[in-house]
Amino acid sequence: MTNSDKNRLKDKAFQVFGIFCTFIGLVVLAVLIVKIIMEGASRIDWSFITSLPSRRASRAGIYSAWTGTLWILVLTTIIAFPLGVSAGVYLEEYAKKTRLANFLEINIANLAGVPSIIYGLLGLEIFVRQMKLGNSLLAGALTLSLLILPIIIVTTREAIKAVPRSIRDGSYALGASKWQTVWHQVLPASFGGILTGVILALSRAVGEAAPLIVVGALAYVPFAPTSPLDEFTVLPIQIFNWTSRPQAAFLVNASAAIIILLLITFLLNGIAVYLRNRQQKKIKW
Amino acid sequence: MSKKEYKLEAKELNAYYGGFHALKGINIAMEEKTVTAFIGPSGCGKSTFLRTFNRMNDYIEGFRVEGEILLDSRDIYDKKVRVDELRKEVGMVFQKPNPFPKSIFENVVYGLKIQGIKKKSVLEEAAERTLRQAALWDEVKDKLQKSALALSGGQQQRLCIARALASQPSVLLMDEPASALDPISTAKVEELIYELKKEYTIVIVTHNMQQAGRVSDYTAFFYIGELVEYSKTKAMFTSPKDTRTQNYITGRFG
Amino acid sequence: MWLSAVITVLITISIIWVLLSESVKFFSEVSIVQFLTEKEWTPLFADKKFGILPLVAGTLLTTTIAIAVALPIGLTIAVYLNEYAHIRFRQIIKPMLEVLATIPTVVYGFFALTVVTPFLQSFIPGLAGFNALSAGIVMGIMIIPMISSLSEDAISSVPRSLREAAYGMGSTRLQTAFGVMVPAASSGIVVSVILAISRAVGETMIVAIAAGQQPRLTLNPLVPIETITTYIVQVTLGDVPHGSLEYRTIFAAGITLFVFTFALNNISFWIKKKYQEKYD
Repeated sequence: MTNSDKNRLKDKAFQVFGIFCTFIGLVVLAVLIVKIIMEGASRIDWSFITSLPSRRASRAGIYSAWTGTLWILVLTTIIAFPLGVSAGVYLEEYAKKTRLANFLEINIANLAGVPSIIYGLLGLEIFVRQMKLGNSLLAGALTLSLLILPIIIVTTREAIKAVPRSIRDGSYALGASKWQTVWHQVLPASFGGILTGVILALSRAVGEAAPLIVVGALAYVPFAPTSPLDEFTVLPIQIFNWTSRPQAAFLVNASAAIIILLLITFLLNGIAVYLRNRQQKKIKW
Repeated sequence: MSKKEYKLEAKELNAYYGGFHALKGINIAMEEKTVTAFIGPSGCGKSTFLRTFNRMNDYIEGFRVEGEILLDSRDIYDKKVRVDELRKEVGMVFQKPNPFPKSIFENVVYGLKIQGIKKKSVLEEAAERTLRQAALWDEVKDKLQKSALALSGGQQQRLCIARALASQPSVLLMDEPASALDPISTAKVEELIYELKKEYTIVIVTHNMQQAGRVSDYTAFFYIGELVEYSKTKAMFTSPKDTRTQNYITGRFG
Repeated sequence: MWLSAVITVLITISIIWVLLSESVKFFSEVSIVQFLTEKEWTPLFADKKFGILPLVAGTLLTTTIAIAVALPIGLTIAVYLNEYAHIRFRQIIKPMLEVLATIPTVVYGFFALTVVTPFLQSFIPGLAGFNALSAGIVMGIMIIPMISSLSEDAISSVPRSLREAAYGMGSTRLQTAFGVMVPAASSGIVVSVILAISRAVGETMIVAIAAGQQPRLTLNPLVPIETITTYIVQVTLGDVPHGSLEYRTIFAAGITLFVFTFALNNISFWIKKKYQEKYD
């Protein structure tokens, strides 16, 4: 066998290995989804969705968990959306390329790399203890808002960067002020991109369990929260709780709750991808 | 005419990028140990054509060829031909110097290493021989282990020529090899081409009319995918047959 | 509006302040030498020992396994998609791989505990129900898209001319990839791996569910261990009174974790910056 033959053989061998590696992750994904659906799908019925948690697996439901998740989603959006977008706009449009701006940038990248559980410790000390919000929805939502803030800021900046100079120049040429240009031209033009980023960030927040456990979300909440100051649980924590129990029946409950959680996450991601594709198709700069 | 052995030939060659007809029915034959220059305005297909001789276009999505390209009378687009072996026979130098981000030595012996040659003495010998051939040896012999990126642009390009020579090709394709260089480096590369002609068959794409005049024996003029005129360089520059060739040449001189 | 930008700085300051202030109180009761050198971690037992090493070992063990899974697979995918795959294939497969990164980690934890561990037990006798191996493997799968997409970006930003040079010399795709492209993109690939490590170190739910809650100074992947993150979850799930020494342990553990990830993240920025200067 010549060297050239050997090289070709290695080349082919790697190709096979490459296909194998590419699909291994997808196979795992498929196994995971199939297993969860087979185990949990039959458990999902109206009473599972409308029942409160119970010590008996067959009577337990996810009512307090999904309402908690919904509350968290809404509160986090209200807090993080304006904060993140305005920070992104400020950094991209106003901040001069100074050392300070550079520092802010590195700082945000650093925040994005802080483990979520550390945000939990932050929330526990600041919101739960010092601000005396207790183990409330508000404390949880504030914590998650801080967690996803860096993601929203970064994607907002990307979206604004994609707005072409010509649009800005056109606005300035008509005598518009900086603020008018940003508000009437830049923001509408980049809104699709910003929204995509916010939704992706929210889908991250929906799946988080660790920081909420740390701020004191409970596993057993026998009521649906009615105000931001109520105690709460969320779907990921309910799943965690059921997974930690020895009885097999609770694992079935966990599977069923995972199906609901995955549906929410995939739905949010799907909306984000749809928005992104539409944005790319609609506007070809 | 007796059946003459040509080094490189193209027969009724057509090439397409998807629906775009890039090369239209090209016929050309090049003798061994000559320099042929491809000239023509941007987008005329001369680079595309050059790249069919070592099948560099193979990886471009949607690219296909019809017709034949013969190297020593063998069709290189034949299914049995292995692209990796073809490219050891047909070396290539690119428009911009593109040394690998490795040492000078590693760059020169790259072609030998990928063929599985590991013996240090063989590699060192080859490095010296080709660096001398590329007129670079005296400038780099004391810093072979330094990064190739530390060399000047002209030196980098001669290093790329040495790198191509190390695989011991018989044909050297040059795609505007001096377009990114300063006049002094350009002169050095041109001198080098003149020297290399003694051993190699060289095809060079150039935008620079004077360069074609200085280095080549034959010139081929391309226009919108067609080979308009192909003759001895002197003949073409003094008495072009086609008006398009004349316009192009005089336009550039004029 | 600048206020919102300032908030990001405030968050960083608060994180450091919260971690430091509680840790300082902790270290006034437990010596830092003991914290760093003692080989046992039993703050919740009657016989209290405060050595962080077992938690660090557990964290490093799961992280190492995760990277051992994710690096070869992720890098291979990056190379495959760049040098071998058809462009249409790449366009379809990339978003599918990204799905792996969007799945909540609690779901991965469930998967590790109820699918991967039983599967591994079928051919690894003596594998405990909770173990670092299964959690690490699943974490690795979760991290694959992170390494593959960042590495792919790094490889595809290598100038085209280098790829052409390699192919022009008669290199095979494999030789081009590993002889030229990967070395030229090495800093970008290193950045992806460092960020992946940082992610694995801070990962919580997978290890909390599947790796166990037994702090243990070991490199054996088959037995239950406890990571720094799991310990924090374990304590906050229980009812530990605010202001107690036990309560402060989670901040001491937290600051340890923070130091690790902060260092890793900043190393990656530093490499990234150097690398950009080289190519501009």
